[in-house]
Amino acid sequence: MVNKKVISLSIQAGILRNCYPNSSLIWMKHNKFIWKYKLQPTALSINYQIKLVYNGYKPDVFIEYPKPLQLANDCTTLEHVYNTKTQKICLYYGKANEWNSTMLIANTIIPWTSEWLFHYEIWAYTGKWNGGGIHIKEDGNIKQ
Amino acid sequence: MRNLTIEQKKQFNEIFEKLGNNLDITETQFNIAVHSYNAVGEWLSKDDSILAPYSPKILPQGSFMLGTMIKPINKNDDLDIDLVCQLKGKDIGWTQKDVKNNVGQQLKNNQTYKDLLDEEGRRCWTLLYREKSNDIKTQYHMDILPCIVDEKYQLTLKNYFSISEYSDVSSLAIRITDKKDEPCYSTVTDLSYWKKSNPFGYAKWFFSKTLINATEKSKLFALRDSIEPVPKYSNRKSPLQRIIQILKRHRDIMFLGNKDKPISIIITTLAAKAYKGEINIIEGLSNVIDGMLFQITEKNGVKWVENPVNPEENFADKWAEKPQKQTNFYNWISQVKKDVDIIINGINMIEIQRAFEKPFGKNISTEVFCSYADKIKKCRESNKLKMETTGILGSLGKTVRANHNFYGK
Repeated sequence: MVNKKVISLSIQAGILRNCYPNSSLIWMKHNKFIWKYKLQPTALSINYQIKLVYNGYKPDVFIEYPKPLQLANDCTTLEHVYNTKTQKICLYYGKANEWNSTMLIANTIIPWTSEWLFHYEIWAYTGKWNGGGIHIKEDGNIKQ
Repeated sequence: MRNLTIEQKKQFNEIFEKLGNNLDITETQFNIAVHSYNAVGEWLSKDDSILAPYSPKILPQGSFMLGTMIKPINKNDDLDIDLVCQLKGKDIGWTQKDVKNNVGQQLKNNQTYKDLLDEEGRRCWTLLYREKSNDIKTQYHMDILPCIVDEKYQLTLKNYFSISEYSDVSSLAIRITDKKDEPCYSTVTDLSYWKKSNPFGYAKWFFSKTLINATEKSKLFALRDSIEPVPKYSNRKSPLQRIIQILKRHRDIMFLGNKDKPISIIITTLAAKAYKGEINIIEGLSNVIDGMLFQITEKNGVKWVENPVNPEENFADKWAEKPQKQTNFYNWISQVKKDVDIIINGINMIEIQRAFEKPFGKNISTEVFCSYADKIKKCRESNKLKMETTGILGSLGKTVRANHNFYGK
């Protein structure tokens, strides 16, 4: 088996800029960048401002606008986020190696973010998450 | 109505199609109903039945045949299934009363049907399946309309339904019995004096409207299948059928438990007359809502909703004696227009979803949007989901990689 090559930060950033015109990129030192873009998951949705922070290992995605995102009735937190307040969202299961730095952010993390937004909108009304995924229970165990 | 982009119209079409899907009765309910009325047909045509010489046949009519049937609001409420019991001719000495009573008697000869039989109706016999069943799937009642047709009727019907063009359907009329048609009801044996009805002519007219833009092949398929005694369940509906289902649901919610609610035959007729072959449900629905009132005419100062296959018949004949019915109809039209406008003008997906709740009900709105979301998930899992550079998910752009799981609390 051939090991896939790690994709460098500059290539990730360049491809993001290329694939998504009108996105903005800020380098924070040579080993970290912030990339911002507006995503609209459906034709009837608003534009969501997203922020991606990448350090070469793990991309973090935040929903910057709107803030706060509306919550479903009787819910105090968002679904599938690391943090409701910062609106940092969870897109993949790290332990299963669903994402690693040999993959292009532009082809994985970004479409997954749009998918997250799509399911968020339906959840905000129905209170049901239809996007699948893995939930961590209070005791730290996983339920599918 | 705000100007929608093509993409937005497409999305609304998909959402309203899902609404229609969720209003359909289930395949199980459908098949059980067909099985039940076929059993009734077999019982009526048994060798020792007094009706046997006239080859009685039970066929669906009304919304069951037109494909515009919807689930009741409460899961515990009955489905109404309208049927005809066709007799090929009759004994020369039989009056309307004899025909009605002979059908009734043959039903009563079977203990099961005897127990299900409701009080005699004006034109129909009604079997109340609900009373005997706790099973939700068999909660319906069947209105059976006894009628007389000629020897060649089935063939005539087949001929009419094997061409897509609409032509004069008067030869599809059937002779019915009517208790209020005294003294004719209990004295006259000559069929030409009996009242006529034309449910199959109406169906032929309705399908000619609903299939305006369908391909010739699918038109003929839909037509032929609709007159089969054992029709196949189909969840594929034309835009007009969906529009009528949506309008009926709105009516059911707005007039919950109100006997003077707008009746289905008026909604169906006016909608079919106003429909111009729009393929997109939201465009069709908006145009139908705007156009329905213009299809109501006036004859001698009386509001008239003309039966398209019998100009003498006014479907709104009850409005004159009960003005509340007329008022309710007009109020309903203006309300449905407002409610659909609120949905179309929703400023984002969350508002749009909320706007479905009042006019169509909370449970069904939740089901509609969950099934809409589920489709996107299934699409991604089978590597068919794509994303445009703007983020819009669907069938355009780059394929979304399948294997990832939303993680976290």
